[in-house]
Amino acid sequence: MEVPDGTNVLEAALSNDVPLEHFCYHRYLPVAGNCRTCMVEIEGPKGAMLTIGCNTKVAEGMVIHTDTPKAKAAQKNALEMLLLDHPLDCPICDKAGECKLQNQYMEYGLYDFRRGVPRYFKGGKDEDIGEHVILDQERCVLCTRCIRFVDELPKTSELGIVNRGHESKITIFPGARLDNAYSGNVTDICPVGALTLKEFRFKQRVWFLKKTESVCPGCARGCNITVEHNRGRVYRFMPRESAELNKTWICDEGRFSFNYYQENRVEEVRVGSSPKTLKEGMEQLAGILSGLDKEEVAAIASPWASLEDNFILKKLFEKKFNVKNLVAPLWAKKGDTDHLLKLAEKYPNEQGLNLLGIPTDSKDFWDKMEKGAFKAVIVMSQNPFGQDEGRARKTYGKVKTLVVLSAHKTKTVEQASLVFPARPFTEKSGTFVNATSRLQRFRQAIEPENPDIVESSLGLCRLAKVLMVEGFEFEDTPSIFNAMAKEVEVLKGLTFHSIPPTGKVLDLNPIAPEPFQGVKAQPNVLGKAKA
Amino acid sequence: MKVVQRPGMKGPEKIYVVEVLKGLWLTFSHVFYNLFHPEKLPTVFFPEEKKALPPATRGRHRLMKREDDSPRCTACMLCATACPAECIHIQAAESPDPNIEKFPEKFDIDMLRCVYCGFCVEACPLDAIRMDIPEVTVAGYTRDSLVYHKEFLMDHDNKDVVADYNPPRPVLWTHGPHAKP
Amino acid sequence: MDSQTFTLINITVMTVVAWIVPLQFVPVFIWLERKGSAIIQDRIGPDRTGILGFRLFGMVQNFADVVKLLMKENIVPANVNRFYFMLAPFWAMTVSLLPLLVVPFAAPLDFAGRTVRFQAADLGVGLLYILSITSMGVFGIILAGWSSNNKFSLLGGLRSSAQMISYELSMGLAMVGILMVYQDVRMSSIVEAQGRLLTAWGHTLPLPHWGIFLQPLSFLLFLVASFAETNRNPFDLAEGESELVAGFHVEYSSVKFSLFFMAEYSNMVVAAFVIATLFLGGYQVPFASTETLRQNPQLTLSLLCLLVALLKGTAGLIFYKIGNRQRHLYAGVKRAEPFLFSGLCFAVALAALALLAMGLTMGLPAWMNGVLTVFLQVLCLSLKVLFFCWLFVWVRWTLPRFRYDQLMKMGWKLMLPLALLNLLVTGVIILTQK
Repeated sequence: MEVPDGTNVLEAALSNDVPLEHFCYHRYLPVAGNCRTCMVEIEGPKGAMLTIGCNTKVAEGMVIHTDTPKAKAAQKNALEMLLLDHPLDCPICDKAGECKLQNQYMEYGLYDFRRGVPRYFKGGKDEDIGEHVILDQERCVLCTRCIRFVDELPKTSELGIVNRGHESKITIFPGARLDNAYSGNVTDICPVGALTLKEFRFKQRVWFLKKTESVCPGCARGCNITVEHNRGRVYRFMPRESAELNKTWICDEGRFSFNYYQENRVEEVRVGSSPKTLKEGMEQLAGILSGLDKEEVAAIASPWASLEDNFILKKLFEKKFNVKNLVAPLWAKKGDTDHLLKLAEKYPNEQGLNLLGIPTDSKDFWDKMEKGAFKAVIVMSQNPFGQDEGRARKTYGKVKTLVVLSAHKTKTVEQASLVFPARPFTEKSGTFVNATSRLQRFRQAIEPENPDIVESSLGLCRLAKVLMVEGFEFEDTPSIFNAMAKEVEVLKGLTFHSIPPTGKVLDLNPIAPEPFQGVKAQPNVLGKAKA
Repeated sequence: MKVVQRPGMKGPEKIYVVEVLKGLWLTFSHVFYNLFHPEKLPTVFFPEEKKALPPATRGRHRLMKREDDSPRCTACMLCATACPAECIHIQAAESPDPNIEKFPEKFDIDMLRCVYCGFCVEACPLDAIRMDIPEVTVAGYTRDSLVYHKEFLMDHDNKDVVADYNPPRPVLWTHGPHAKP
Repeated sequence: MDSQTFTLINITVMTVVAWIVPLQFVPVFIWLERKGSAIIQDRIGPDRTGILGFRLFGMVQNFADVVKLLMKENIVPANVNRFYFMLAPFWAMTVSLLPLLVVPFAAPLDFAGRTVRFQAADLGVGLLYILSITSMGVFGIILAGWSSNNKFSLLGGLRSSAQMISYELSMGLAMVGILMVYQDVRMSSIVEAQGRLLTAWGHTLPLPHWGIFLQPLSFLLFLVASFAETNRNPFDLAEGESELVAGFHVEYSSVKFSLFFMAEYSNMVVAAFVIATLFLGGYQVPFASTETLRQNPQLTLSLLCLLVALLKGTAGLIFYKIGNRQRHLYAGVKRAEPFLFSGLCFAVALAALALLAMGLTMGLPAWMNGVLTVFLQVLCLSLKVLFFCWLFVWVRWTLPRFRYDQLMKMGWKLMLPLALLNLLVTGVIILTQK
């Protein structure tokens, strides 16, 4: 097997589907080598010798055994040592189901204690160490992954080991709290249930959760995440490994935004103040629109909407109305930014607008609207009244029909004359283009109970059908993407399902720097063998 | 392949009469006996008379209690995991007792979905759920009334249980500050 | 009152009686069916429904059923032929009530110089009238089956009509045997003729002059054919649940269904009356002709009282045992009811015995002779009819249903030749007797 230079033995094994146990080793953290479970036998001049795999770099001609009796025994002994004082409270532990210790315990079949002395109890079952994180001292196996994380990435170093021997334990430094912007990640990398999230604690057992690959729409970075959900409810967002983008990290802001997408939702189609079915609503809207001149209809596209939504809106305006009356203003407040992942621009799909050629500069548009040139305005996934209400009132004063497609109840929804419920990204499939021009796909996690809640793109397709405009016979998002890929130059040759899971970099100018500036985010060489 | 002939009818069977009379005699013997021995009919007058249920009967669920009347259940959801009918709905919460980490804030069993398989009892690591209340008339006027809540499932102090139902209780923690049954 | 008015009143009253009797037999029959099937299968049967705790051993269940059936929605499906659909149940019910008009319930009684008849219409064509009316019953079923516009109903109706036509043949031929031996079609004459003892070739036999003894084969054929005519198990292919859901009355609900249901049972009651009348001497008490009974009031009284005492005593015993079985279950009326009825039965039995003793020691007034005879004869006919009702129940819960080919084979290849043979033999015997 030939792997890149500098790969360690453990990584060479893991990257090439050779099973090897490990606890403290994490691909994107520096090697500590303190758990001793990745013991391998390496043949050398003095015969085969045991050593840990994580801290041994591979060399030319090296012969490594991972499953000889001697290596297995060493791994097993290390595991048993880890388990000695670990409580067997798996039934109440939130890590159960994705716990490395539990999995390996089952794998190695160490079902009986051999401990002859009473167990040592460290104490501290639920220590509140941060805004989001709870520490359970008893479950901790001292792998130091969390310490290495806070040292290396946010560089805030709140955590450390105190005491010695069996009394040593992880704790926060006096006066410090684990409150950095990436604190949630320590619970992901904790191999046992020592660090758990307050937001997820006791909420759901992990084996109930269905995982859907997705993209965080919190900012222009577009971190890869999995949406974990059960029975129509999202319980958490977890980072999804992407070596090129977010490694295995996401910020707390994105991680804990999962409730935002399922709260305060628009539940039904509304015309004026009366609830309608989607069909009735679409027919009414079509009736209004077909009574207007094509110059009198305008629309606001959105950097929060997926590529498909914007594409369909644009296409509708190209075919039926005037595409010049379509803009996508960027008016969100700037957020925090840092050297790791967070970006100030809170639009997941700003690059997508550039890609489709929807203008973000909208001065003429507002002037025309204020003069009363537009009788009907379609607002998709935008909240103009929420940004500057006074100005919005003035601007939209002469608009007769304000149509809003929105997932959430916003001030604009309150003002609208027609409201169509839309789906947030957890309930639909689609694509975003992030700030570094990476085209990324997200898939539908849950299906809303109300069939009238459709994603904006398909809703607009229905409208087009009622308006007798041809070319909108789409059944689902992938087919919209595939149609778009045929029309848009940059996307040529792509289909929805052929986008790699971690995305594809498009030929566009990036609008933000790459992540992890000034941080050694890739301390280990990934050792995929050369074919 | 072997072709099996139908037995068919032979001799006097063909004109039915004898066979019919035989059948009538059999039923008449039952009538005559039962008419004068109504006490020997095997029918149980159900709501008034109750059969003693066998010890292996799976009855209605109950939630076992600790000595201080708190639920023995730790909301580990293994029963809900094992349940093939998805009838157990648990909502866990932080326990007010500092020695107990997790407890079921809500523990609902939807009896309309329950198939009485007993997997929840098998799955429970703490013997916190048992199916030994010999109630076979689980009925109600509304759907909601058949979703049994925690309080109802734990209210069994004065209720009969199926005789001899005493499975060995697993012991998880033998010593230490958290060793609690 | 001249004799014509009297006859008119007599006929009117008896017509009403002939209407009411089958209607009254129906609930009893249904109760008999339910309890009988239960006891045959070692069950208890309806036992729960009660009014103020009185359950009448399950009889109250019938009230519940009536209320239920009347309260149900009276559905007329789309695409049915409404007129015939509505007509069918009424037709079936009406036809089933008619044949009893010609059945005598007791011997005519000479009372105060006038003749009281216990028969609504003493038609000269009595037997033919019964035959023609019962054959009209098939229209109800065919109409229901066809007008429902449903495959199952149509198949049920088809089967039923084919079956009725096939078995009516042997039924008619079996009746012809009766006509040949009694030489009359008038019902009263046939019954009167059965009051004597059997004589053959000049010898008097210790047997009543009943159809069953004169025409045993004919009796068997008639019995089987009447099972088939009433669509009763084992010939209930018209409504074979396992094959046709409910056969011809799949689409009927509520009152219309209950009419079919009642028609079915009153048909059987009528069949029981006809069999009892033709083959078991009708109202005739065995070995005691009407004249004998009228001349020996002591005999009449003893027979009547002993019969009542026996029946009531048995009933009392059974009720007592039932009460004993349930005594620890209930309190109040529910507990006391069986004992109450048991006591009542024993009381009636004792009263009958006391009456008998009084009558035997003190003698009877002359006018009592006739009345006692009527009572005894009506009781005797009722017992015979009840026995055949019970036979219907008994057979139903014993035998499985025939297959359609077996049904047809039996009707045409077994019963028809046998009926013809029976006629031949009867004819030969009658000729040799002359």
